[in-house]
Amino acid sequence: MRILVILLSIIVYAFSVSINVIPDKKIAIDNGDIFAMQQYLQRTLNFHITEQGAKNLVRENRILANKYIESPYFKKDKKYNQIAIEKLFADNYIQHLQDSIKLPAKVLKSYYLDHIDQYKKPDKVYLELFRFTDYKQALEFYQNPSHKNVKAHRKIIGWVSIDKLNDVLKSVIKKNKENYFLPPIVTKNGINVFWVKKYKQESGYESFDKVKRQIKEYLFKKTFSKKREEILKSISKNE
Amino acid sequence: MNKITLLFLSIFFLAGCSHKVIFTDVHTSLHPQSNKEKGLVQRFEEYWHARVNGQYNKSYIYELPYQQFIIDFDRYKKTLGLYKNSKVSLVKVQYPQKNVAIITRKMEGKNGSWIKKDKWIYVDGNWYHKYYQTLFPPLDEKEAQFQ
Repeated sequence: MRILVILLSIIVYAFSVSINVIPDKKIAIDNGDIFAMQQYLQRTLNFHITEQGAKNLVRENRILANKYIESPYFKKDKKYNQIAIEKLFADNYIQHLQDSIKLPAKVLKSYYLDHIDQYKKPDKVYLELFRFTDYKQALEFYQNPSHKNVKAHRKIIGWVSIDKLNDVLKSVIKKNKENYFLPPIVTKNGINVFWVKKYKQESGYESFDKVKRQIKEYLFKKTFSKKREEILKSISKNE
Repeated sequence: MNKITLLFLSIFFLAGCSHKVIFTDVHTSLHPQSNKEKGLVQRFEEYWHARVNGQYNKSYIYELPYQQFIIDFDRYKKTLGLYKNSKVSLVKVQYPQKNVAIITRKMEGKNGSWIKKDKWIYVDGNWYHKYYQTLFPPLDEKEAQFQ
């Protein structure tokens, strides 16, 4: 067993990517960095970020990464970094090859129609916020709500999709519908009491055009291992 | 060739074009109400004819396009086989949504008969079958109905 582990380590070392990591002192950010960050967030978290947002994030990460590279912790993880970067490169290669596949519309549409319930438009609630500095006052207000002489900061939140709320709130709101107060929620900015003023049941579904990119990403994720095997097979055939 | 002969020949030619293949192993008593439903019944018959005769390379192309993308043909054919040499009858069709049809089918084989369901989805002018594997235990009761 030990011999096997040693052999594996030698193989990994011998065939690993050689990476020389040096700090980017200039913190120079170009359009390629911004695009890469946007793509990364889109792929990993399905999150769209603005160019400015991506630029800020790259800058902040680079400042922190530079500090990390210069710190005594970095050497300890050197091998780990190499392995992690190789995995990232391998995954990127497969993702790029997947992206070049043009999926026919009927592939995406068939998924959409088969899972149409997933694309039902979420219901909405109209919320107003009463923010207190004192928990006792918030609790009293919740137990006996009166809009007159209330010592709270009042803010209209407006219509919010219930999909944006956490699961506990979602189930409470779905059950009680409208015109009631939610129990006080303690946050770092104060104690929030929400008034669920109105509830709107949505009908209809999100359009195919709106969700087709999301479906494509899902199908690629689902076939990622299959694609990886195919690519490895074709590489070993050609070499 | 006179006009009457030409007319007769044209009628015979048109009758030949609209001739429908009758499968002895797939039966349907439903009278389609529209061209869309006619298409559904035809696809149902062709699909099940291929399945009960073990022609899985043919039945594969009737499966939903996204399932064909995800599931390799080799894996697909390994998970079928339960209904080989059975007889299939279309009992009824329901439309829970505009482009979705649920077909109730009766399967008759050596070991008796069962009532099962099929989900068909209308994509870009064609009906596609939703594939459920039949050799492994179903994931839940709903899936069992469709296997």
